[in-house]
Amino acid sequence: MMSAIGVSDRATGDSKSVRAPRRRRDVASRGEGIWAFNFLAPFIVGIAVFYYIAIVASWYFSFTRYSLLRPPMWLGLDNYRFLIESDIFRKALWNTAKLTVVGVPATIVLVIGLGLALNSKIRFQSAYRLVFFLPLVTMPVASAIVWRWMYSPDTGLFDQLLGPLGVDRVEWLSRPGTALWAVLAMEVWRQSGLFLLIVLAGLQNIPQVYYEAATVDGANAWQRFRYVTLPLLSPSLFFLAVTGSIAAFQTFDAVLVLTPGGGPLNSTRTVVFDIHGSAFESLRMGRASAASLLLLAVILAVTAVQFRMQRRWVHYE
Amino acid sequence: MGPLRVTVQRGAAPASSAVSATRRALEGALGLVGRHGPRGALHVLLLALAFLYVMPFLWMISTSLKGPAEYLGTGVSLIPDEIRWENYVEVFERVPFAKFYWNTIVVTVLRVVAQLALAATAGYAFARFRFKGRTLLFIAVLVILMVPPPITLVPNFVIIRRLGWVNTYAGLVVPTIWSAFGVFLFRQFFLTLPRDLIDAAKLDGCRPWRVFWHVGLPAARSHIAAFGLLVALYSWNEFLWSLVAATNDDRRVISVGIYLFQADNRQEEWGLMMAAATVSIVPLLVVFAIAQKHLIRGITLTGLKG
Repeated sequence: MMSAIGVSDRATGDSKSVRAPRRRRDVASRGEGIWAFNFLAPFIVGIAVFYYIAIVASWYFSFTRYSLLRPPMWLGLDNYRFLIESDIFRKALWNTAKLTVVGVPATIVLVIGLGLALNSKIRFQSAYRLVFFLPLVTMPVASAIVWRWMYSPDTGLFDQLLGPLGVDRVEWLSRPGTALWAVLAMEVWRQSGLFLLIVLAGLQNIPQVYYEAATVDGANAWQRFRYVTLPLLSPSLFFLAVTGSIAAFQTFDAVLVLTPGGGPLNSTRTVVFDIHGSAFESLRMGRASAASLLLLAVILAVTAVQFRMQRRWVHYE
Repeated sequence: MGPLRVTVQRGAAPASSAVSATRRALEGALGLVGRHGPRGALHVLLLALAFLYVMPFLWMISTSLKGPAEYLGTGVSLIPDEIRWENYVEVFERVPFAKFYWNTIVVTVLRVVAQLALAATAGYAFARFRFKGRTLLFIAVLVILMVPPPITLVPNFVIIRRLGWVNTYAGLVVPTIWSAFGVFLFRQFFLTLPRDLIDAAKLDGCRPWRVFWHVGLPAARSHIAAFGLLVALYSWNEFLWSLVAATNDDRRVISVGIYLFQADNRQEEWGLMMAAATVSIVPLLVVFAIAQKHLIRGITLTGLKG
């Protein structure tokens, strides 16, 4: 086999000298199929097993009752029917939707402001950047533990700071009205480091001449932002909206740490929290698989809608 | 326009002469003096926000050095009355934190090496070889970008259970090293390699493997650094998969270790929990401080595909 490759290498080398002026990339092209196979096989096998086969298996499990201890038992559509009729799962979907629809735009607005401030010529620019990038490198579980401590009633930082202002003990994480927003606030803080980085990169890609031209035309600061910065930043914002939503749909560690049981009246329970609970606490692999696939369907649908809507607001040069 | 500006400056002048010497010194240090009026407001806003961002870290470190009497008392003070390093010692005694640390390092090194090897070779093949079905295969790779990890959590656990990999490094690592993004990143890079460079090596009799090793990889150094750091960042902080793939302390990683430590802690031992949290994030902070440029480049590269 190896000698065959050698021969074909030489053969194409010859053919190159015959068809003299042809493009040089014809060199050694015949053996490329085998080389491509060698280079690609490990990766392709990996994604075949851990993505494609996994999803097909998950699809099969979703029609069964499967506790890992006994073989899967066929249930038909029962898992899906159960989930769609379950108040708890619907609540989880609704909470996840809230975290996405409120959290992602809030983070984007925040980092646009921060990005503009940090992109102007101010002092201590790099020190500020370092500070705002901190959440990016901080282990999410660790920061969730710190936030749980900050939210702690009476002794936590928030209550300590609000006390002198006349606000009495607030049980941020154990009241249905505040728990989800407490999770959301932490998620905005946590995601903003990453978002800011992308926005700053986008801002730095905007050529200065556009601003100069706009100023010559008499545009004020707001108009320069509205008609130069925003359109030219829109591809970055679109990227953040898409990847940020996909990330928000997976909210899990924050909920698990801040509100271990899924919050008062399930007010912070998210879909992934539900998947993890059914699979690894109740050993219902089938139901967890069905929930995973429903989540995948939601993610694909939302991403598709975002791609459709980008024509209306995303500006590519 | 002209007169307006004059009045603004005239209005500002007496105010600045009235401020105390210390405040002027402070403003001078911040570069706020003179015509930087609006900049001053910006600075105040940024300082306030920056304070909000560092606060959790300061609060964490401060609590980690306090005893229960102090952190459960009232009044906010960042500097502990009496510094208690014992909290850190106690964390390592109470839970096998050293073991968690070691496991996290092993898993992270394995993931970085494996991801780099897989992504670079596959990316090179897509960029540099022509073969049947290349486009179709590449699409099959990109499609997995749409499938976030929680979706494959259950089936992948079933798979590693079948393989007998629960509570092993293999189980922690192997399902997590297939990054379509990495392949995409390296493909885009290798597409930009000048063809002459590669053809010269080929004409010298180099096999594709040696061309990849001696020409492709050295050229991709900065991409390797950026992507490698990105994988390290992801790996160190990874939680969900590690939580289900390892159920015994022998193979637990830090993120899971501190989660369980705080979940099992019913006595509000915040000093210990903050010490554990501090210890778990310090290595990445150090890496970030040293390799900030590469890391930031790696992350901004993720934005390029949008």
